Amino acid sequence: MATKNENSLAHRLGASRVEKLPKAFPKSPLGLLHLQNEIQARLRSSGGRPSDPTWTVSRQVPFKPEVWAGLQSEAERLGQYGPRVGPAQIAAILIEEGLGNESVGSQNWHRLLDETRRKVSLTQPDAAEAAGVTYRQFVEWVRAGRIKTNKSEERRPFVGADSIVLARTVVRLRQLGIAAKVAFEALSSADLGQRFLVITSVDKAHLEVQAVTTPDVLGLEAAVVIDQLPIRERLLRLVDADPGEGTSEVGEIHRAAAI
Amino acid sequence: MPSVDRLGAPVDQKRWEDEALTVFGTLFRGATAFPPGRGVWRDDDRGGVLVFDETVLVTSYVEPGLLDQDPIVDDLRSFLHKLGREANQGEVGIVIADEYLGITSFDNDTGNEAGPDGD
Repeated sequence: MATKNENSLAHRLGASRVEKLPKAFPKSPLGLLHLQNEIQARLRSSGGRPSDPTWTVSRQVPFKPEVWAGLQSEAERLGQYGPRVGPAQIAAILIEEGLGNESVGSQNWHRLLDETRRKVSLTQPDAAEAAGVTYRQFVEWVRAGRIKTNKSEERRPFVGADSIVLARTVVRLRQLGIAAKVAFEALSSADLGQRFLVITSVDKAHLEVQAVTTPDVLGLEAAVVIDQLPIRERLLRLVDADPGEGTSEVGEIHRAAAI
Repeated sequence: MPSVDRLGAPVDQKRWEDEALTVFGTLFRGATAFPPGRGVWRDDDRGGVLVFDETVLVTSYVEPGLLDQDPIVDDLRSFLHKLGREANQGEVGIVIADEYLGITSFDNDTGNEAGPDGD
């Protein structure tokens, strides 16, 4: 039987050393590259200093002198490799990253939810693959009534977005040591129209799930938070003819505390 | 992607950059190579000599579930070890989430794992 260490990504890739890194954003090299990427993607020039056209509100914000000096230094450095950027513009991007740009995210979520519910209808093998589970396991879940399918005219079952999201979520929870049966029972009454599935109570036999629209989990004592957005984005790309640009799929699942 | 090997001799950086983008694009659906930055690596096997180079960083956003799939991890491993072996690198590094993974012993070109001494 493989040990946990043998299953680790480091072992599977043949790494001889592993270094734990601080949070990537914003001060690590990768964080700076991400910031540079954001600046190049967002700032547009219409004659003056390049700016993000969605920045339509201006406000005066006080800074500590050393923070402003740091922003000026970063702006000068980043400006050497791309569009001219000001310290306040970097501050705006950092604030949006920090807040998760929630207002935009909320609009995107409702559009995405509607589109995936309208467009996504996959065969069982494709649905199993999208959910990250074997076809055999997926069919067992369908036969057990855990996953719902839609019969087409040819009586061939197709699977919609909510069912795939449900299966995907169960797969994720299983990876955290939660039995599929327990996960299905807890999720069966969850409103998948809400973006975040917050697991508030976890033991081997029982889960409590709350579905919420905003990532505000203060007071919920969340153990695990599952974000449906990246799962549904991936589903939409699967069914769209134009694959489009890849979007970030990190952060599908967030573990708030050890289970 | 390095510009020199562990002895300081130039390597075909463009080839490795193209190959990294191809592999990452195939496995993860997209990748970005950034302009070279000055880099340095300390070669402890050669008495701590510093090897300076112009490193190209290739990044990719990865759906976490992909890294649970053995074929994808195997292909990624194959590329990283090939880079280390054929470009004569002392170490190949990859950052995944919040961990830096350093590979110093490379599989041989038949895919057999390196021994404890890197053979």
